Amino acid sequence: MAFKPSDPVLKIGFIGMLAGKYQNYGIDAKNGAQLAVDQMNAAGGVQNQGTTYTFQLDPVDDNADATQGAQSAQKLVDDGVVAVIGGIFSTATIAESKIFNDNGITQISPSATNPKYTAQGFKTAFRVIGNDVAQGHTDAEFAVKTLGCKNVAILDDKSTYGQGLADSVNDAIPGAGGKIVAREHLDATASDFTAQLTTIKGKHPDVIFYGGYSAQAGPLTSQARKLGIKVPFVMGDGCEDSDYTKLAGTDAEGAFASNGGPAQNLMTGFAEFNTKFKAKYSVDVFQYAPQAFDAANIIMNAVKTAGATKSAVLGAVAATKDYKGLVQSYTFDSKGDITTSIFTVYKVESGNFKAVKAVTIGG
Amino acid sequence: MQRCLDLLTSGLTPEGILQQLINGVTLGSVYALIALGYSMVYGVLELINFAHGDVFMIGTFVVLGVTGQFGLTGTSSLALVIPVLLLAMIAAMALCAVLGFTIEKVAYRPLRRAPRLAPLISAIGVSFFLEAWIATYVSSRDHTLPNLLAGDIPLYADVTIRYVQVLMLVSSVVMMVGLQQLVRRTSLGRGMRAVAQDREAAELMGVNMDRVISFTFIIGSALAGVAAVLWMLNYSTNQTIGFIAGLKAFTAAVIGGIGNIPGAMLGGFLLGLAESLGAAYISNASCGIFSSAYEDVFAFAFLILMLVFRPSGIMRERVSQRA
Repeated sequence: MAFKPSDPVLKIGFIGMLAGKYQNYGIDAKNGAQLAVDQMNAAGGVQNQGTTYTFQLDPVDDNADATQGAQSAQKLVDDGVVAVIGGIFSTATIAESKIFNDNGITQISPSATNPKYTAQGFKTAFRVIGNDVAQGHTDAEFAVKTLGCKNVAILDDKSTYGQGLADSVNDAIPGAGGKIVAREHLDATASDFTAQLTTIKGKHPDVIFYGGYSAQAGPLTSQARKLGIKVPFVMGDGCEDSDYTKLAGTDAEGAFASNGGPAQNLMTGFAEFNTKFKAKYSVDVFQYAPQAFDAANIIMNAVKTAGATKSAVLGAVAATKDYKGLVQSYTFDSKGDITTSIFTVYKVESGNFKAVKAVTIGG
Repeated sequence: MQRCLDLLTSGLTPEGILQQLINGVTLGSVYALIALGYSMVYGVLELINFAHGDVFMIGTFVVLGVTGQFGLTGTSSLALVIPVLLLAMIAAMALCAVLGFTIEKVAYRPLRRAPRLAPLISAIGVSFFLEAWIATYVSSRDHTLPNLLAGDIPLYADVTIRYVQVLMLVSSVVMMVGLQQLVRRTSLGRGMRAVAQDREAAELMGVNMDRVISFTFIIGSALAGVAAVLWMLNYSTNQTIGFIAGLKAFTAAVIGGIGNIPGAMLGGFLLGLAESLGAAYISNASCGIFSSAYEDVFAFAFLILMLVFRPSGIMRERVSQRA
């Protein structure tokens, strides 16, 4: 196909952490989106009504912070992007979503799971990952049905994420056939969690669910074992990482944690994707690159279907139905959530998380 | 009403209460050790040394470093664990002592005759400096030790007290008694009491004030080093741990009567118990209105009540009242 210099180049924004403590997540997702754009351009771009469009990724840093996120979102608006991939963490993503909504720019987050993001009534907010309500449902079903634990104790760290996820689990337990025997909270700045654990121990649960991050989950697990609590822990995506296994040491063995998306070894086409990714960036895929890759392709596909204006892209993205991506097949509901979400439950074995069960919600 | 009565008694088992008491006293013993450092400095200088919590935090990193050097794991033999822990304690005490001594020399001594707010601000500055330094050059992640000194003594039903908890209790009481004897019986202690009573008069009587103040910082900081070892045997650390642990210890010092050594100890135990029992039973006591989320509300409400009804603390310190 002829490639004329006059063919328009469309800018797609990327917003996420590109520096600082959480840069691993942001850079990984940015690289995933960049790979999709490069592949599309190498294939000659997309055509709509006789015009050929190619794409350019415009990345900005939000430092996982609401204030900086809003400023960076405004910069993307000023750059004239046609749609945006990002943010990565929920707090910043929610702050950014208002700016994009005000300017009618489509935003697809590869990773923000807080239900609030798509519950604000914004027509422009989408995500390609299951939200925390679906994850709470997964964790509840896993604890009660798969593990056969009827009496559940729930503990959270009072954070937006941790308490939100614990509330979702709390709501889903009765439906799964379980019973909540204790609902406790801890302070993420505290170090001693034995008071809550002793209370939980007295209620004799079969399993403990913890909503929070690995910095507390690690010591929490050790303190539980020291108190003689032997029942398994089930946790969310805030704990499925090497920090947890390092902090809890041998006490981590046998703990479960869920995370969004299929396990990498269960994703069709992941090996090929990772080979191309590694050839280009010299690192393996870390976490959300596949989701960002899919988000970029959904946007470019929308340009192909409907053209290059912001409103045309928004309409076409919202109408996405059964789009086959790398991670899964996507259909958006009226809020911008995916109708079918996939979660994977991992278990700590010999110091590492290993996938034990894939769960599909909805669809 | 019936539901309320049920709640009041549900979960109130003798085993539960006993276990919570043990939890509370253990936590309190570390607060108490850190509180001693606040209390001593306040007694002598009337300065709230906000950097004290961060000296403790540095101590926890020294402990991590020493135990890491020897590659301790949960299965290491006691013949290795005990000497290494002793070495870690000596290293943490020494480094904390040097640090406390230096902080006083650099950040407080030049401001001794300045308005009272100046050294306080300086203390906050030192605290921020130490936190940022650890975060930048050492680590900004959380760390734990493996489960050392595992094992416990059964007490009643399924209630146990772990060896580590016994160690925490015994060491904190020994330290407190030792300190009390030092203040009562040695010439250095007499100097400390003299400076606390009246700085100028003490100097006129030939007390070397600079030396007394330096020693106060050295001893208080070394105790924070001991607290750091005990803390790491039970809990985790990161660069911000000094702020929270320091705040709790400072609260303990105020509850006990700041400037008073047995008072700081008692305050530590009381605060530990208030937190533990608060988190465990506030739901029962309030008919389910409050959950364990209110743990800190409970602990600090206790502090406010204390300040309202007995502003000078439980063990009222008369020595620090000056003309």
